[in-house]
Amino acid sequence: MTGLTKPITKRNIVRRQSRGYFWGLTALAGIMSADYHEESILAKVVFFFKLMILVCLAVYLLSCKMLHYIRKQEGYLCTSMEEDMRGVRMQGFFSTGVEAVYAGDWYLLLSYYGVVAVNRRYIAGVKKIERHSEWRGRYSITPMLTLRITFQTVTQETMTFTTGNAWQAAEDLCSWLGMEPEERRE
Amino acid sequence: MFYFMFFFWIAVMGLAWYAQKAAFRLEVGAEKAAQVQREKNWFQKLFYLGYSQYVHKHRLAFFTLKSKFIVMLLMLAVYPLAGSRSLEVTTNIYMAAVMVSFLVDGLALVCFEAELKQRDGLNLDASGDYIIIEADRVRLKLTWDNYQEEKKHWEAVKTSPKQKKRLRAIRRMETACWLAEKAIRDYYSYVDVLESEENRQQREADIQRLQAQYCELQELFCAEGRKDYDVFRYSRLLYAIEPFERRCSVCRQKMQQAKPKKKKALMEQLFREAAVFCDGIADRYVEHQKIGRADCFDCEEAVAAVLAVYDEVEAWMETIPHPGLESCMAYNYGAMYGNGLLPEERENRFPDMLPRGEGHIIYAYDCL
Repeated sequence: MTGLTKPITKRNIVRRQSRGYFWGLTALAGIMSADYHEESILAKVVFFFKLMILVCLAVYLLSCKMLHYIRKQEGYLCTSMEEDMRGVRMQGFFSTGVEAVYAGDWYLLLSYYGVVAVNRRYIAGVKKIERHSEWRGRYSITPMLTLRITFQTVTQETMTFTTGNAWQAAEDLCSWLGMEPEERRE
Repeated sequence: MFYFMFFFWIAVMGLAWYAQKAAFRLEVGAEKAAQVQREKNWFQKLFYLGYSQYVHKHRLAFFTLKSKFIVMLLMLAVYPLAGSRSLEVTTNIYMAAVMVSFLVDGLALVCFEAELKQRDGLNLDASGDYIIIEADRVRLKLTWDNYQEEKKHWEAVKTSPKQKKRLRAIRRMETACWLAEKAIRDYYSYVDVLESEENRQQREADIQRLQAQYCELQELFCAEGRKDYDVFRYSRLLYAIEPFERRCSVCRQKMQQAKPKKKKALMEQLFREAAVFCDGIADRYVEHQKIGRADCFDCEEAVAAVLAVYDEVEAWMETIPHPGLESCMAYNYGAMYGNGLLPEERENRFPDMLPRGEGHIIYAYDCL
């Protein structure tokens, strides 16, 4: 389970960054459909499937931005990330920390909090690395810490990705790109 | 509903007990806590009796948790009496009570853990180590003692005529051994802090001792007539090749006697044995990386055994074509390359599956 077993596809990347939401919302859907009293069990099952469609929609919406950025890069460079990363593998379900995988022109930072996927040829510079903290929920004790990396693209636009709280991973990404970030905010 | 309530109730009582344990450890530190625990008997440990003199800062929380634990046990005892009128209503009331106490215990536990973590970030203890590492070191020491105790129990039980009793004693030893391994994995995972040569020697000694314990357990199981039992099955650091080879030889024997129609399925089975074993090796390799001894992990023999089985399957594939299995094998070669287990002379076998110029790094989250 902890070995490098999963192939890198868009589907698996989305699973990696939204597994918390997926299993949490699935549990919620299970509880809701258990409390949904109807005469037939079929109605309960159908209700559960309707809720699961909503869960899948939520997961899609959460990873929409990341997928949009990847598709933009692929469209501009006329390549496919899945084709370029064929044969490269990442960790399975019980992975922890931030995982950096690079092959060819692609560099990925995979984590529970978000995924960074950039192509070397599409990036003109690194604008900012920022450590972002937010208190999720009213009674939370510790803040949720993430990194936000902002890139300057060759089409004079900016791309902002979120990833897990490992500063060294972002630094290594910059050194792999051969670019010095304009701003560091810890 | 009743059964759900019952199990939930027991689980919440366990949570309350664990929260008390965390509070006590937070107050006096891990080493003192272990020392005090050793003096108490099981009844005092269960109800946390006679601990008030050590607890000062979280006195109210500790007292609340302790009395709640006792009240919950009493409520469980009077459940049949309370439910004599209406079982449903009583169950609902109990359900509400257990949910509230789940919230209270969970919040207490989270607060204690957060305080421990916060204190860990701020200051060090007397010996200059982080408090959390100190706790893991104490746990490592305790697990070794636990194993010795279980061994003494086994020495007493050894001559018993009942096989069931003897096997249970060995299983208890196995559990103790597994916990010791867990403690090793937890303690030596602080690679950056425990960098010194002394710690490295200590780690090697611990691993050797663990290996000796596992081998001892394997012999005990064999002596009881369980030759197929593999004690390394649940281990996440160590492995043994003999059970794997035994399973493969069983497959080979079946293959020789089987009819041509069944040979395909047996070939798949043989391949699966090798692939699963290889996966286990990769997992153990990653675990060794986490405790910082990837260089010392000796897996050449195991990889050679796996590749020998792969060669055998390929030789079979010349007479019995199986394209699906071949693609699976190519995938496994790629996975072995990615895990750094594939020898160099094998890299020409499926060159398409081995991408060059790629890398893989795993970072831990920053501790602030």
